Amino acid sequence: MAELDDIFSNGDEKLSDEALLQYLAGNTSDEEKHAVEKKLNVSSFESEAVEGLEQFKHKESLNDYVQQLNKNLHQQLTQKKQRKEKRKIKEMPLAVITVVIILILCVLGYIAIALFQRSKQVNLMPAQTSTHIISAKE
Amino acid sequence: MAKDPYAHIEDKELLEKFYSDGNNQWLGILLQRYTLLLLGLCMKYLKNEEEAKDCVQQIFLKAITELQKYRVDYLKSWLYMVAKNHCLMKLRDSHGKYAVEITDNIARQEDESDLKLEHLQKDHTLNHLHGSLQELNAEQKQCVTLFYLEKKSYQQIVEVTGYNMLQVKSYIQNGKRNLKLILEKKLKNNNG
Repeated sequence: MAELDDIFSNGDEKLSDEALLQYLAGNTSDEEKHAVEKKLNVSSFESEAVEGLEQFKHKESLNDYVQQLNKNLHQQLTQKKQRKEKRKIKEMPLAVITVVIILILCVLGYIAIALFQRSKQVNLMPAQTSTHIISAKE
Repeated sequence: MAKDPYAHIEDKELLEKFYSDGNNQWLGILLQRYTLLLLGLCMKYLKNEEEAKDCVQQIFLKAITELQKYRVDYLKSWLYMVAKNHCLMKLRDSHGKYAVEITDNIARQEDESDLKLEHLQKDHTLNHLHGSLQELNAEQKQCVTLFYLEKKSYQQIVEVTGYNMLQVKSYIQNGKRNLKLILEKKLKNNNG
């Protein structure tokens, strides 16, 4: 009765594309067929897909269709990645300009403070010297 | 068929990689695992080879966009649901028919129910299985027995029973579903 255990088991191994294509092409033994069909009975995704794949006129071309679709998928992903990078580059000058402006403002602020402090010192200097002269005369 | 160099990495792990570094290439590796199944699913609903191929590309685009928006834990069930909804919407647009949108719950219902049964099996449900099998109708019992116990392929069952392929598939599917219901009822009665 151990076989009864199989009815509700999900099967650990995934159904590979190769096995599925071999099954669809009819290049499998009865034992292999049963193994594939058992997996099909577990998942509605796989079983519905097989129903559809069986409707293709040229099943030998299925692999080519898959390759082409995968190629397109990777092209889509690469284009998306490139667009993302381009957008990054476009956004970069604005960030650079902002940083440069902040730096310039910092430098200007520093110069202004330095000049202000120097002029303050210069204004104080003549007053000190004149008091020294007066005290010397006395 | 080209070998997937990432075959040893589970879907979940690849999804995690994508969510952690945002690299689209992980999505490419993941999605191409389901190209053949998606192509078959689209063909089942659309009944047109070119439309099915276009539809797969549209589903890929949708998946890439959606996966970047929110987190998905079970890619296969999610992709199945997205693809099926997309096909049904396409059919509705072209035929003006009402299409039922399936939800994540429905898509996972089967898996969860299987898991529940798997769990229950550990509680010695095997004894009940044999009895439940006897309660199926003659056709279902015959096909389920030939398929699961005698390990015959669909074709062999067709030859043995004289039913056609569709009938065999249907008897096995329905037999399995009914067996599950009978078994659940028995377990409920036992526990109750």
